Amino acid sequence: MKPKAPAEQVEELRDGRSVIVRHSRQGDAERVHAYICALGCSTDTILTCAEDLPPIERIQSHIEMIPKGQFYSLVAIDPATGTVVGNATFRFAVRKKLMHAADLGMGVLPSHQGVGLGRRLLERSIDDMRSFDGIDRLELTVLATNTIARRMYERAGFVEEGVKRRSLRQPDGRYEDEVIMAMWVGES
Amino acid sequence: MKLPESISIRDGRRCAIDRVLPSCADRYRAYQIGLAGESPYISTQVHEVKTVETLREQAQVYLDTPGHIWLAVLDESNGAQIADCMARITLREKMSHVATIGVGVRQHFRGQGLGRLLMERIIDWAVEDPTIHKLQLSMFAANTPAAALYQSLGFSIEGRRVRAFRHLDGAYDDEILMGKWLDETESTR
Repeated sequence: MKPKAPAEQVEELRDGRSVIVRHSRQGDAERVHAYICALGCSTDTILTCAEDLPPIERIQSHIEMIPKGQFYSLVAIDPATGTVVGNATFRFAVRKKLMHAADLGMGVLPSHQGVGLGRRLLERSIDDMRSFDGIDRLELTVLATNTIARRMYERAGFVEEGVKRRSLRQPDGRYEDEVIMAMWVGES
Repeated sequence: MKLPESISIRDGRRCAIDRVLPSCADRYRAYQIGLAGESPYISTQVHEVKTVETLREQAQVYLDTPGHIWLAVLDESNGAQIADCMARITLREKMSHVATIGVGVRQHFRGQGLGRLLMERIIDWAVEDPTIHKLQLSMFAANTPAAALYQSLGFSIEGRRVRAFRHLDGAYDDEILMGKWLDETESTR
């Protein structure tokens, strides 16, 4: 079963602002790409960085995979500007032995951090995955130093499965550990 | 690394180690199909093995791209491929210091030290590459001989992804993640 109809939901944030939360759709590539580039350049907590920005074609190909059930993408849009300010995606494996797992990636722009948006995106996307046929396992990696995100994932039900030591190198040469986390959403 | 390299395995049979060349894609494909059919510890299924054309392109990429290597072991008696080992750096800037390794040996050539030999070649290759600082690999948790081999080569367990694999009969297995940090002094020699 595909995620429920891409209903637009208006979410009120803790500081009184609101955002529109909805599934990505055709025509979103440009605004999602702008968001990924802005996020990659504003934080060192994600894999994307200024030296490693994705081409817009990659974003477009992800959007085209959504209706086929091969990719999941949720965006939060600032209604005033139409720009994407936060997102959550799940990637699905292609090979049969790995197909029951989905890999989470998410982020929130600095302008919208600390007001509960990350948690809303996370909870909504987990709910969607629960009703997604064949998905039993959700997984993610997070920087060991990113304690705010780790706490958020734990509260949502993710459990630590290990630490990949010095698996990430920041552009300034610093090495960082990645924590791997997962949660089971299939039958137990 | 001097290739091709001719070796004698424990039981006396002779094998040759060489790079996987685009022209050998069909030979590699036959090996991969055999391996996928006989081993529960391969994440690729028989019908998921790539086409000869795709494998040819992949072999070319491994030849042309820095931080990539793909080795084959051939049975010298008949020229068939019976083992392989590949390593490649991650194509994301922040992970470009990490190379991921995959290794396979056909059933009738197991227990001959080929897995260890290939891993040693790959470790030596990685030590020589100044951009590679870490090696990582993963395996089915039930594949305990592989875990013992990797640990004896200096890999340590970094995590356990619970029920990350689902076998065709519906049974799950965990995935064990291992890593090895390469110091300048590190070598298997």
